[in-house]
Amino acid sequence: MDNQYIFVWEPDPSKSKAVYNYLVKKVNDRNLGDKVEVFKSTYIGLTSSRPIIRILPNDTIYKDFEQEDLGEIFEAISSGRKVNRFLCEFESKIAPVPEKDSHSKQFKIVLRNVGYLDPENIDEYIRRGGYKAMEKAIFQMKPEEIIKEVKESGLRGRGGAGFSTGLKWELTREEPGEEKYVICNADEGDPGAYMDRSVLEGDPHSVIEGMIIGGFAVGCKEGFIYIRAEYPLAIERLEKALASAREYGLLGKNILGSDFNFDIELRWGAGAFVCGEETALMASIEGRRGNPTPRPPFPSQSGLWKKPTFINNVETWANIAPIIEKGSSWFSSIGVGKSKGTKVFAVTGKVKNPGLIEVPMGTTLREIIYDISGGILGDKKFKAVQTGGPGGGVIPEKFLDMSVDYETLQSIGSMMGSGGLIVMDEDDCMVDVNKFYLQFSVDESCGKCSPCRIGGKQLLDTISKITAGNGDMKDVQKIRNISMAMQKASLCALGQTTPNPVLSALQYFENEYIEHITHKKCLTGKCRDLVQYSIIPEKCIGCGVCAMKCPVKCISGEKKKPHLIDGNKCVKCGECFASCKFSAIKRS
Amino acid sequence: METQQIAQLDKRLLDFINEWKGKKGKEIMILHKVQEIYGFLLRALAMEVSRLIDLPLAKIYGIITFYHIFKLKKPGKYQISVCMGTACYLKGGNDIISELENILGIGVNCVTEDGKFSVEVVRCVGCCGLAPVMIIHGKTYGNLKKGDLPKILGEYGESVLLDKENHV
Amino acid sequence: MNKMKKGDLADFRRNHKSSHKGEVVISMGTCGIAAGGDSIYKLFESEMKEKGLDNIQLKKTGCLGMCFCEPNLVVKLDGMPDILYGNVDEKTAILIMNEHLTKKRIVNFNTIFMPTDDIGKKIFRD
Repeated sequence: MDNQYIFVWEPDPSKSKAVYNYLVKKVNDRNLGDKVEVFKSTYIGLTSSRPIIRILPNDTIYKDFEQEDLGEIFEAISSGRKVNRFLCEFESKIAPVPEKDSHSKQFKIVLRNVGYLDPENIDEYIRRGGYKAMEKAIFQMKPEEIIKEVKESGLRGRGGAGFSTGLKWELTREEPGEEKYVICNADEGDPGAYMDRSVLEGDPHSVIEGMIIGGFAVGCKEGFIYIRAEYPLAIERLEKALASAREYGLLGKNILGSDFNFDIELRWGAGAFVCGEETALMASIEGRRGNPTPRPPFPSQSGLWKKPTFINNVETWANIAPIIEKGSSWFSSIGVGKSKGTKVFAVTGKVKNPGLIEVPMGTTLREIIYDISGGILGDKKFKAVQTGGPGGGVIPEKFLDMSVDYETLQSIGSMMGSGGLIVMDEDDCMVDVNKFYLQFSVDESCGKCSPCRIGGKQLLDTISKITAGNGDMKDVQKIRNISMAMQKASLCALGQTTPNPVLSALQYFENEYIEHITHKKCLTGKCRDLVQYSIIPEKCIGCGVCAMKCPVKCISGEKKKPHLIDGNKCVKCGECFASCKFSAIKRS
Repeated sequence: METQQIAQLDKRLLDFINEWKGKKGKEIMILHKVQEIYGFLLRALAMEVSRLIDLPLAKIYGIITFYHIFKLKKPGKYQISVCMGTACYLKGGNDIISELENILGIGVNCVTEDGKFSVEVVRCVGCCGLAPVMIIHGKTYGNLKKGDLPKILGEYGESVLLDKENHV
Repeated sequence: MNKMKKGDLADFRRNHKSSHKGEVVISMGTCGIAAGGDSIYKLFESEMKEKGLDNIQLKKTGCLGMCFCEPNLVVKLDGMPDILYGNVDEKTAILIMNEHLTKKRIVNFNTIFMPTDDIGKKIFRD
């Protein structure tokens, strides 16, 4: 038998190492030290509220066992058998995948190479099958066939709106004229999202290859990647990738000796969120202020420099090569309903293991948050998760078992968005978070149309009034009215979606708004104007830690005697509350 | 300063403009280059660029004032950019800003008297896993705590700061 | 490099033979670098040279997706399971070189896993 490696993951290793210690003792007792090795693991690919064991090289995973079952599991390991009842089953019932991954709920198509190859070395990309799909597309397929494949795959724009990619290509192809453009939207502006950056930094060629195939199918000679200037490393790696693709004859004139000419250039953004909107993005590439324009005309009719143009975002482009290589039926077998394929999420906020993940459409939020990302940090209570960034909505706990796909998310007042998934716990105040997003949207409004420019400001002012303790129940209706006006009358998606977080918070967390308005209270302590800190004399032992931590020195008292907070000087930072080990500080 | 004439444009900029002159969508790329070389967009520079690429000054100002990245004021030698993406906000980005304001004695978008530091708030820099995050002079600092700031600023040779720290 | 023609890509893939017996892959996206991946890379570069570990390839890659334990890296040695180490500081880096790379012994410290199978390899199988 090969050497066995046992990896033990325990939910909170600092507190308990019972499983690890048991197995180490067993190995030592049996003198198996040179054949079986036991390791502590900080992350094992999935998480749970109970310990997990993973055994290599045959890669068996056990979970949901009790301490007393360990003996049986150990016997099995040392004799090369398996204990079937504790084996971990990964297959998700809602989100099917064609090739079963033996040890993960994730399925990586877009991120297929990220983490495996050196992004600055084109040779590695080629060796992993890179540009194979492009060769197939150029030499073995007609443009119409390529478009048909993409259309039938069911791929939809990963930037948020979810328009059919193949249809977009077809519409642009059908437009008359020789000069047409391909654009890759890499202006990832959602705060709390970095999916596109990771793809561009980790596998730039996958985007380039997708764009070449798109250019060939639609009949373009030129493509642009509009990228955020805030991503210098992504820019550097893209430039390198483009240069080496040109050097190899995979980009530029006569690609791979064919008569197809196509080249891609970078254009930098300059820090304007609204430029993620198609029409604004094109204005920006043309060297103008990034103001959106009304549609129609759609970009496919009159886009960049008034020529037919099609725009897809980074993640969408990275899906193209696998679709061409494996075929549309392979791709459409992944996912649920009208949402095919996978989605990359940047899971951030209050989770134990924030990170970048890719799951098949239809995976539930609970699987993402608890099975992959470790659950809530510090074992606090889950409150909500925000998808879709500043234009999305909050999703409360009751929807955690719902499938993540375009339609379902929309039906509960959120949206897929580009893939930021921000987890909030009981310490986060919904009104405060709404204020944050509104502040963002107001700052980023281009100011061209009044519903967005004025409406956003009014919403923000009303909510600021509420968080300052001056709210009125009438304000809730006012918020609803303004929101509706913005949704109906704004020119582009920025204004139309600005009210979404507020509306969804009002829908699912109305209590919190009412708490702020009628009781002038913020239970989380985030809205500082509504909070008072005081010391409970019976609990205070007079250690002085809070007085030391206080940045404005407003806590006084003698050693070993109850202290006092001077409410006039207090800036309500909450340092004392966080530092007191005796729960002697009251927040009200 | 505003009216100061630019005697000779930096050669790197001239080369860049010559290279890009005939290209589509050059305007923003050229302004990026100006800012990269000079640190901000001095009026005289904007005028020069306007002349060289034959674009009205008003259009150039239209661009500069629309996009957050372009600066009309000279920034500090070391620019401190504090991330205020959602993840950083939730994990205490605000506290980092107020602490910086305390230590440096300046507000957001201001420059210290000696011209050494300036503080700005930026949108998500894409390091949400490390929240809260700030960037000083191109170097990213993650998992920040208020207490780390004096030491980090000290890396930029700010001894005055450390004195101040002792006073508190 | 001559410009490639039709069919050259397949030849290129076929004719590649690696002379390495394993690799160390360091996660170096923006957040990896911000967390110190850059200096870990340099440390490996110089130390591996000094220790004569030149049959192991050192390379950088994009974000491995596990932002919570940056900097992280993967060690892949022939005949051993792929091991991912998280929160790698200088001390751990040296341990990894002395134990894992030199003696083929997995370091019992901050071990984690690639969270998924290598699907990319399956998609583009020749």
